[in-house]
Order: sequence, then structure tokens, then C-alpha cells
Amino acid sequence: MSSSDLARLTVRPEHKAVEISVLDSEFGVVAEGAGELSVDLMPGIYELQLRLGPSQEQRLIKLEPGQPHEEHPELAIPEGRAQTDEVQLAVPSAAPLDGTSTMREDHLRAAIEASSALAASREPSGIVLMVRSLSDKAPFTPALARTLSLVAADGRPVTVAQRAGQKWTTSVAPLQPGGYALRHTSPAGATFQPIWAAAGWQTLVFVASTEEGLAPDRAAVHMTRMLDPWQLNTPDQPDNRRDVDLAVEAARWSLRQGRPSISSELLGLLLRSKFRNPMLGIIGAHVMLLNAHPDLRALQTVISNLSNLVHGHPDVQALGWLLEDARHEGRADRPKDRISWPPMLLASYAAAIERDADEPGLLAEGSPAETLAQNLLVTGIWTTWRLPSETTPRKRGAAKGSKTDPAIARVLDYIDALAARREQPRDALIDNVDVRQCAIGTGLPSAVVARALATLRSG
Amino acid sequence: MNQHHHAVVVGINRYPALSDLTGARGDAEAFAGWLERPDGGALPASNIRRVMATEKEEASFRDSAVATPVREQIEDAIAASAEAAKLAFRVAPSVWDEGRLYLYVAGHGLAPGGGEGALYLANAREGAGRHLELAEYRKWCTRCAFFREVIVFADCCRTRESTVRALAPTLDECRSPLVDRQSTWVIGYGSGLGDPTYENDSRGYFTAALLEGFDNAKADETGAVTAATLGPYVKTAVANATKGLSHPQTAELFADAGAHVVFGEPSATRGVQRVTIAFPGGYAGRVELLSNGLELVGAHDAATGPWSLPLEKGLYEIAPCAGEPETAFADHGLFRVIGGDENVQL
Repeated sequence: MSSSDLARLTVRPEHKAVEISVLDSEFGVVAEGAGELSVDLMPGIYELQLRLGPSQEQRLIKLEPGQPHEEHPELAIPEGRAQTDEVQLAVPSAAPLDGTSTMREDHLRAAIEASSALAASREPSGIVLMVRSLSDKAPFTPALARTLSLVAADGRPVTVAQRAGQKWTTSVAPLQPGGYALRHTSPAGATFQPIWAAAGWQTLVFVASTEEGLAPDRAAVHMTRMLDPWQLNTPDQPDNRRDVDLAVEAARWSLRQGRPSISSELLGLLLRSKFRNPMLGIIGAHVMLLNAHPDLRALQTVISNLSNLVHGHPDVQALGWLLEDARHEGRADRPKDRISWPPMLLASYAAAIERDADEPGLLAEGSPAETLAQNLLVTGIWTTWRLPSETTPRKRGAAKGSKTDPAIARVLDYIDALAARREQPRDALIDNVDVRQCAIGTGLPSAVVARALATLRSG
Repeated sequence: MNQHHHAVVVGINRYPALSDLTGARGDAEAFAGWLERPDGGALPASNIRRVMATEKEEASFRDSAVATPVREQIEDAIAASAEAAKLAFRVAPSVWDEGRLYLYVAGHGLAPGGGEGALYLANAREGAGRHLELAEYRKWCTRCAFFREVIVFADCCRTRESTVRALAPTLDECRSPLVDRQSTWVIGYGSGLGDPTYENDSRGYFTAALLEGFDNAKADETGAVTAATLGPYVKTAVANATKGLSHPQTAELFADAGAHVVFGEPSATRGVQRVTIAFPGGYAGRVELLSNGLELVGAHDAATGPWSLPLEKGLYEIAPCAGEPETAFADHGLFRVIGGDENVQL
């Protein structure tokens, strides 16, 4: 067959975040790419597989000899598209982002106004919280939105300026830099997610109201410079914000799945965008780390830049430790940075807790970062905890807990499993168990494990 | 024979405190069968450690407290495989390059908090979600580097259970790895994170696709079925088998970047399955069937009813014969043949 008999397949998706694979009749990949693909193939039947974040679609296509074949996958839009034969990819987001299937113009305008109001406050930092409904079917009332609130590190409510519109509310909180939390009250009790207000930056937290209720576990978090409010898309910019917005949704999905499944082009787009939105860099760095062999030099650059942009951010500190682990660097000679407030991303927090097993004290003793680890819930990519009882004041010092103390219960679970495996009595293991191994096994900070063991040993 | 390949194969049908399954143990036996086949995994039988209760034993489990297998048994089997690998390494360090561990599990499953996919153990019950979190064992194996390759396959649900925390192995942590080299790994799940898996005719969709893929996935440039070629095949086969069901399954198969994990050579002949092609109501013209290479396979008169014929796995097109009236077939008349017997509605 001559080259003129080959068929040119061109796949030009509406968005460059779309990943493309072409499978042949043996179901093997014959071509793949991201954003756009153009390839000469033998005439025949192929399977085109497309993915953008959580959205996956496939289509069988026929390539005729010498004939070009074009596919233009589209993004599904809320109002739907008239008469199209193209593959549709629907990407939902809690944030009103252009190109997502859940974009609402009025919600975007409300977010911009809230961000502008925060910029006008002239405070060193702040948080914008937006709660919005993603569909007409999702219930939304101001009372439902009020089940979400911002609290300070000591648990006290933060003063916010609120606005409400058609199926949305915004809360604007000018703040001093530091650790805060998003509190969600539900019939099952209150849960908390940490938010770090970085000096010189706004943190924007978008929470969706879905048909199942509010979904803070699927929140979208962005950052923008304090005096540079959230903006409309500007297609003339080199890195179109719409591309970035969808890339971050793909990255968030990748992180949720625990797989480095976004293309290097998209990752590059995210990482370049960190200068105006460091959260993209934090998420992008975690996605890089999902790769078993990450580009450590690139990662070093990203983390170094993030450290300059948002110095002291607990997620960036944890990323630094993860980089050291990836490099198999020695740890003993390094000056100790400590974390006092839980990182926003669970992957960061898990890394910090694991590191604390080897270097006890990295989670500052008695700090929320140390004491809240025993109350973690895993509901998504964001760190989330539930307090055992809201009427019990938080213990900041050494726990004198009973066996219903969650840390003690977890240590006992671990010891019981170990006792069954080693066929040894529980009490002997309580006396002899290695704190480091117990910390790794229970996922608790070393000091928490040590305190739990001390309590158990004292009877 | 792959003398330095080891396997731990777990299948659980009986869950006294949950609901029972019908196909998990059979899936595990089928996988073990592939491991033993000389043209399959080619493992010595003694290197395959089955961790399963017999049917008779399962029938006697009246209570979750006495049901097996439990975590200790599986950990013992992993530890025994690791010991065998360590011993072989001490005798001849070069055999490390030939070392591989398969960990296959089938049964009920979950995605516990902090985990990515876990097998419920036979003694699991409400309030005590005893499980085997697979990523933790994969990490333990790669940390200790007993094997050059670690292959994990899990045909079980991955529905999220945030109140159950992923359990780490109780196997001793290694102070240092066996060798100063990185193990590579492959991990395959029957469904996406947060999603359930299903069985059909007492065979899990994922395991069926996996076993079929070992023989039918595309060979790479070295002529071998590898993790890189097995993945697309298994994902497509599972998606095709479950399309149109209330819960379509999306299998996942991931490999350590750069890993070139070879599973063997594809069989010399492609698998054949029976396909029944049904035409749109009222269509009575003659049609032709074209293969992937757009070559004519055969022709059929739709007026006689559906067309049933054996076809090799692959991609096909049905089109009206020349001179016949044009019609709009579903998916432009294109369809795939993969997995079990196929019903195609045009």
C-alpha cells in the first residue's frame, strides 16, 4: 500500500486538556496525545477514546483509503448543543469555570464581585466562600448554605460579609494570614476542612450543592493575589485561563484517583499558572509526585517557587518533605520545619504524618496538626476531620484519654492485629511495640502514638 | 518455567456477615489456572499459594468469627513468598532480576479511607470492616524489594467507605530493601475508585477480561503481551461487556512508569466468539460485513432476520450492499467484538 492510500486522522478537541487514544482492531494503542492529534493510519476501523478528567467517551471510526477524517470532540455545556454529531465530554466543577458543564454566568459574576470586595478590604489576606447549586434539580436554600461557615483555628466563627442570589451565596472574610477551617454542619455532626490564608493572597473556596446535598469534599479551591481579584477569562493571554481552569479540574480528578493521569502539557500549563494561582502549583506538584519516577529537578523548581509565593503554607512544607523522600535524601542533618495547622490536601497531610513517624516532632507537639490527625475522615482529596464530641473542649496538651479515645482505639486495633499475627498476648506487645512501626501502621503522629501507648501501659 | 515467580491467590465467596458471592473463588481458581499453564504464567505449582476456603469449609461458616480466609493467612502467604525470594537471592543474587510476585484477590471490596482498593476478608462484618488494602501491600513489597516486579490484580468493588480506615500490613517493616534497586509494579482494578464491580454467569467481568487479554491482547514490538498492551485490552473488554448495564464498569490497569512487564506471547490464533447482529425494525435489505481492514467477510439478507455467525475479536462494519437502500444503522454500522458472545443491535 502506498503512502497516498493512508488515511489522515485528525482529532481536534475543543479543549487542549482532552486526552486522546486511538486503538486498532487488536485493541492496542496505535496513537495517543493530548489537546490535538494528527496521524496517518492504515485504512480501517479504529476506536477513538477520549478523556477529560472524570469524563470518558469512546467512538468507533472508519478511515477510508487516502481520505482525511476529522473529529472535533466538544465540551458539554449546561444549555446543551444543537444538532451535533461530535463526541461530548462533560466536566462538572464546583467553581463557575468556563468550559465546564456546570458554568453559570451569574455565579461567575458573583464570585468576581466577592473577590473584588475582598481586594478592596486592604487586609493582608482573606477567604471567599461561594456555595452554589450545580443544577436545577439540586436543592438550594440560604439555610442550606448556612450549614457551611468559616471558623478560626480556635473554633470561633469568623466574621464574614454575605451576599445571596439565585441559587448562590458568597461569604467574604478579610483575615490575618494563618490557619482557618470550613465547618460543615449536618445531621451526622460537624466536619471541618482546613484552609490556609496566605499573606498577600485570597483563597477562594467553591462548594457545590448537589442533588445529594452540599459537597465540601468535592470543593474547588483557587487562589488569586489579594489585590488582583478573580477575573473573567481573557482568551488573548498566552495560557488561556479556560484551558487552565479545565486542566485543574483534570488534575483534581487525577489526584482523587491517585493516578498521574494528565498529560505533561497540561501539567506544564498548571505549573506555569501557579504564579497567579499557587493552588494550581500545589495540586500540580502532587500530581507529579503520583508518578513513580517524577522529574525531581522540575519538582524542586516548582516547590521552591511555591515557597517564595506562599511562604509557610503547610501544603508547601509537606511537598518539600515529599521531594526529599523522592530523592531518598538523608533527613538527620536537615533543620526541622514544623507544621502546626493541617495542610489543605489530604495527600500533604498524610505525607506529613508519615514523615513524623521517622522524625517525631515535625507535627508540632500539641498543635492542631498533631491532635486532629486522630480524627481524620477520608472523603475526597481535601483534609477533613470530625471532632469526637463538640461539647468536649479540644485537648491541646497530652491526652489522658480513655479507651474510647480514637487514638487509643486505633493503636489497640493495630496491636490486636499484630498480636493475632505473631500469636503474642496483647499486653506484651503494648509494652514492646515499636513506636515508629505503630505510627506507620496506624497513620498517627509519633507523639500521639507514644501518648496512647503510655496511657495503655499505665493501665 | 518462571522459577522465581511467586503468587498469592485469594478468592472469597462466603461472607457470613455480609452477602455471599458465587464467582469469586472460581475467578481466583481460573487465575491460578492461568498462572500454572506453561503458556500462561508458567509458575511452578509450589510457587502458587492459594488462600481460599473449600466449598465444604465455606458451607460450615455460620458466623464471621470462624470464617476464613483472614488477613493473617494472606500475610503468611506473602511472607512465605518473600522468604523464598530472599533465600533464592542469597544463593544467587542475579535471580533477583527474574523475581515477580502476583497478588490476585476476588471477593467483596471497598475503598477504605486513605486507601485505593481493598478486599473484604471473610470475617468482615458491620462495625468491623476487616480488609486487605492492596496499595499498602504493593507499597510494602516495593519498599522491601523482595521481587523485581509486583503485580496486583483485584476483582472487587471499590466503593468508598470513609468510616473504615485503610489498614497497613502487620508484616514487619524492612529497615533496608533486599537490593538497592527499585521494584516495578502493575496494579489492576475491576472498577474505578468509588465504583462497584460485578460478576456475570459466576465470572467477574474484570477477571474474564484479564484472562482473555493474556491470550488476545496486542503484542508489543518484542512480540509480547505486556502491561502496556494488556491495559487497553482489558479496559475495552470490560467497558464493552458492561455497556448498557445499569452500572457500566471502568477497569483500571496502571503500571509503574517505564515498567516493561511481560505476561507472555499472545496465542497464535485470535479468539473467536459468536455474534448475533440484529437489524433496525423494518429493515429488509442485503448487507455486507467488512473486517477491520475493510475486507469483505460475508453478506446477509436482513429480511431473513438477525445474522448469527462466529467472528474473531476485532472491529467490524455492517453496510448495505451496493444498490440497497441507505439506512441509518446505530454507530454508523460499526461494532466491536471483544469479551464473550456479542449481541449487536444496529
